[in-house]
Amino acid sequence: MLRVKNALRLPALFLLFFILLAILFTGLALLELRVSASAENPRVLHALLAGRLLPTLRGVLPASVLAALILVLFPMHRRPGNRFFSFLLPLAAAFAVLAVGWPLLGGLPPPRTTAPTPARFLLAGRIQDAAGSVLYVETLDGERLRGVVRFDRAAPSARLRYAPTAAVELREGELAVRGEGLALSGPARPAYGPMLRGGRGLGDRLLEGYLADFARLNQELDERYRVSRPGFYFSCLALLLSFFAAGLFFRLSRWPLANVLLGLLIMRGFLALFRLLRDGLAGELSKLLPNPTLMAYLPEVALLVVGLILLLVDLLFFPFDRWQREARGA
Amino acid sequence: MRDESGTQTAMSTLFVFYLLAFAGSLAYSIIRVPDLLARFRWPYIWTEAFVRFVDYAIPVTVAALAASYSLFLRRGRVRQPFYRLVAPQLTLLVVLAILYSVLLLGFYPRSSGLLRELRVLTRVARGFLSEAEKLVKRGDHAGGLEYYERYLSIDPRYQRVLDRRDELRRGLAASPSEKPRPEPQPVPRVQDLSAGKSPYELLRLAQGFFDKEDYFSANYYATLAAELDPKREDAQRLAARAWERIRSRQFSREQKAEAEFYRQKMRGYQLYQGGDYLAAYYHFLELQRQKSGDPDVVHFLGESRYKVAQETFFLGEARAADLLPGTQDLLFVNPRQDGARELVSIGRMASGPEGTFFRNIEVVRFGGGASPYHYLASYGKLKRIEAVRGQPGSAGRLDVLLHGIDRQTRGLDLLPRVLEGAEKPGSRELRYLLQLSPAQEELEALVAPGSDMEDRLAGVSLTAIWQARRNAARYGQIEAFLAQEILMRLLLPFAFLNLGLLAMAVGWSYRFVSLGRRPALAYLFLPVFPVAATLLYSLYLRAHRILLGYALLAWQFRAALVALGVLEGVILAAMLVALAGQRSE
Repeated sequence: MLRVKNALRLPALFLLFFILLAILFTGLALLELRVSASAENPRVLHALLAGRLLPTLRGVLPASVLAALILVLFPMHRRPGNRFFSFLLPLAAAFAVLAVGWPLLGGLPPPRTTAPTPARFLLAGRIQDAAGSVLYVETLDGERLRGVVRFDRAAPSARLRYAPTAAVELREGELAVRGEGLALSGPARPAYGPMLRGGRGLGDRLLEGYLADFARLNQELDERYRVSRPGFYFSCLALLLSFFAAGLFFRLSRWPLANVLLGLLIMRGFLALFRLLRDGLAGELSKLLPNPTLMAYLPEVALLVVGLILLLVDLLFFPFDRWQREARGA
Repeated sequence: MRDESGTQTAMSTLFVFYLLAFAGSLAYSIIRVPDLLARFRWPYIWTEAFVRFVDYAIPVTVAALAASYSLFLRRGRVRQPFYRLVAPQLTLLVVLAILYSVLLLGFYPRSSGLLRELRVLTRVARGFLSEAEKLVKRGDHAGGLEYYERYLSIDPRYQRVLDRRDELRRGLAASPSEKPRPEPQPVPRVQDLSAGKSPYELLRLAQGFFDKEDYFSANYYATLAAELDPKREDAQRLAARAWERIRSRQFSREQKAEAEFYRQKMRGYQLYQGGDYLAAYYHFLELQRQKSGDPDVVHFLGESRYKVAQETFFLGEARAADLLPGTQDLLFVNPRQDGARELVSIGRMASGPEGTFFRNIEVVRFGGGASPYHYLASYGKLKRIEAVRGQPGSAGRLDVLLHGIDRQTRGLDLLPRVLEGAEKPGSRELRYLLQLSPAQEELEALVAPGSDMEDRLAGVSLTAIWQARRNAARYGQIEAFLAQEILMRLLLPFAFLNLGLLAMAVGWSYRFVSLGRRPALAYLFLPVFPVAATLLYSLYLRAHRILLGYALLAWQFRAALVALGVLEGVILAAMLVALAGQRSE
């Protein structure tokens, strides 16, 4: 009875973890946006944040579901319940949240956002990276600039260029500044954006890799959802099953910390595999596999197969309460 | 001896991890060393290894503690409550955090700056070498020799250039027309007896010189007394009498050369008293070449040099500063009292025994109702004007002297080149002086923005960034960038402690659960620990970057500083609770 009870609390724990993680991730993502767009007109900034709330929630949904599913593995192995329910219930809860949450959040109309103003990208009285160059702008009045000085680090002689007046134009993600003897353009980057820029160390690269993989996953889910509902559900299932089945690694050896790290590493590998099969090897594999439907679902099929194998190995070779047994034995 | 407390185990693991991390950093630095002068190669490698080591010190510590607590500290060996086990290691962690803070805030900025400097010096040295070869090819052997010498002052043991220089020296020694110019020794300023004296005392001093028939000195001090107190007619009279004696000195026919020298001395003295110190300096320099040791010449050469140094600088000193460590690409707004603004770009700033020098100064002045004025100066020297004590309204300020002169030869002046400006500013002060608003300590933090801005800020001390932040907005800097750099640096010691405690708690919570021998495979898994710790550390920093960025922009610096303290305090408390919650059985 206790074992069933232990299993029954897992979906509730999953939901708790999911809600907390979704709030944390959404909060951080919106704060990130708030920081980078801080120079924006307050009215536009509020509209921007309100407008981005639902897309952000939708964007963090897969990451929150997967992370919550991983967190559920810890109480699951510390207090093992009924094996069947322990596996089925959190997985079903995760599937329900992802498969229902994604279309639901995508279907709600977000509040109307206002077009960005140049104030987001240019600060008056400051030296900054803007329009692909280093610029100083004395005053900014709508789209009119006064006292503009450009600094060109690579210039062989004079590196400063002054224009008493200039005009700024914002079009399709490009910021252009034109004035007397001055014609600059470059990607429109928020003035406070550099505050969020991390370093170039190993950890930052790993983190960027994670974020890029999740972004790719979101894109893939969105595409799936638009093309075919069964295909979307299949993708969700394959993803969740493979991640949850990788929980097997959490009980692999008598060293739990190494197990957890190995499990997380494998899960990271699933994301990379998903991207590799979709983007990297898709071209090569299409020559070997002429079936276009199989090709379209190759990453999901691969994850599902790996997940099922892990599940089978788990059922056949690993006792569900291994942590307890090891602890008692030791 | 049994390691009952586990401290020895933790220390041994930390030591091995640190050793491996440093070896890894060293190997990385050896592989990735850029193309440098041979003599800079190893200093660069060691410094880079240190910088990388400090960069990864937190993840390495976290990994070592996690490994130590989860694999090496075992339940069977520990027969005491967990709080007793952990107490000495908390002390160890705090000591390590203090050591880390010293390295991070004390040595790290200097080392980062040195890496950059070695790369720049290599580029400068190679520029000298290429210029030398170009000049020699054109037949300008003296010029080529000068550039070879400059290269050798950076890289003095490069045999190929040493040989080339010696060859050129021999060639020039043989050719009378192309003798290299000897660099004159700097002339010391003769002790000025007038310092701090009242007009009456000066007059007495002048009278003493007059009585000893030293009429130049008598005139000099009497004139000073008259300048200080124009009502003193006795001083004016004594000055006039002394000048009359100077003018009326008679020489015999045999003393023709001496008479001419005396006439030249008078001329120099007139130039000096007329305020043309530059002309007086070159004049007395020439007289010193003719007759070294003449007390009047030595005195007035020293005085005129001192006066000249108030308005100009010696180019040789400025060029020598090219070889000193410095800061690159400063860019800032220089607000002026007349309402105009100046955007100042400085290619390089370096300080040495002769002062602080700038290279490639460019200024655009605009606003304040005047037409824009844009000029370039190859070199400049910083001059500090101290505030006069007891004089109300007197404030110290910094000027950049833009008029460079040759120590030996007149006419080789280096003046600012005007690029734009319908009307040249009338006064010499406006033309050849750049008055700086930022303090000298603030300057090094006022770097131009760019993709490598963070790298360059890494070479700037926390104190300099702290000072620059206060007035950052006045100087056109985005204050939030500097404020965030300060907060992120202050965060790191906390990150060291908090993540270290987390590693101890998690490591113990998920420790190896067997009394048997640890399998060899376990050791093979250890390299995953630093990678995972690096990712955790990056996550920690990224989340803080966002939170602190928001706090800075929403509440300003002080509130963000308090928020950082509170946040880290809360995390520290949570980590201690997590650690205290562990069981030893």
